[in-house]
Amino acid sequence: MKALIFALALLFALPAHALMHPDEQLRNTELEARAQNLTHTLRCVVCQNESVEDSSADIARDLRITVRKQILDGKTDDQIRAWLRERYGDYILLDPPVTSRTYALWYAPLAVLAAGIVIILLSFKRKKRR
Amino acid sequence: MKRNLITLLPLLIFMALAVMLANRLIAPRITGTIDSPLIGKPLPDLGITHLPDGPFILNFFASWCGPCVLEHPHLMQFKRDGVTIIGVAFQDKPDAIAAFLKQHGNPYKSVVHDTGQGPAITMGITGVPESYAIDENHIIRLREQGPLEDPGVIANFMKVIKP
Repeated sequence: MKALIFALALLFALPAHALMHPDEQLRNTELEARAQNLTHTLRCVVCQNESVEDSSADIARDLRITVRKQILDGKTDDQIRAWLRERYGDYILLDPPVTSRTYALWYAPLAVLAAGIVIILLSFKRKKRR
Repeated sequence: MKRNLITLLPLLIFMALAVMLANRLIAPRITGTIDSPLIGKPLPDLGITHLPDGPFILNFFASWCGPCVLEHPHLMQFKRDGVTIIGVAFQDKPDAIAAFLKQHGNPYKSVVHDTGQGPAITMGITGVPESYAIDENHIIRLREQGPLEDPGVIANFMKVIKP
């Protein structure tokens, strides 16, 4: 019986993020979903490897509320992202944009993979010749 | 020879990457000139009335912040040197701020309270203390994250504040 109750409780449990910051959430579910999508792509500026949405830091809370205020003010996601980038730089984005400074970050793995494939092909070729 | 080079290539690439990353790790921090996208730009509207006309230091602090206590004597020295400092009390209570300033001295021309989504987010701060050198044209010139106590950083700030 206990197991059944536990299973039912799990079945009807809300997603964790819905309970995490109930006081900050927007009443309009569509706008709230937009806010959550956006803050999931923002990096917490003090915890580095966590999104603003998932972080419990005070500054992340301020950022979540700021994003929601700007959504209510009618700003688009791109406008909000641009506003934050003006202040925190690309650092605020969990996915750094492709710029001349981040070419190595984005393309180095591909280059290393390509180099590996070339080396393997060349060594196969050499073995065949023998 | 050529074959040896190809075999060694992954190792060479790995070593080059390791050297590059290690170099970044041990590179000394250039104090007072930390990259902030706002450096060189006009001070955004912080919603603070009565900002000084001339240059000033914008200092974010809190009574609950240990490094702010370390920084405080340096702010008092700035005040003695005739520098205007505007304080932003970050996520703090007015009573606690009043007690803090009574205990350590008040270096500020005025103190603004930011309980969230105020000047702190507008300036892109990541914590307290954090200070900005604002020049006479209200252009943001320098930022210091952490206590404003390094003699080199203080000298750089003075160059902006007292040209």
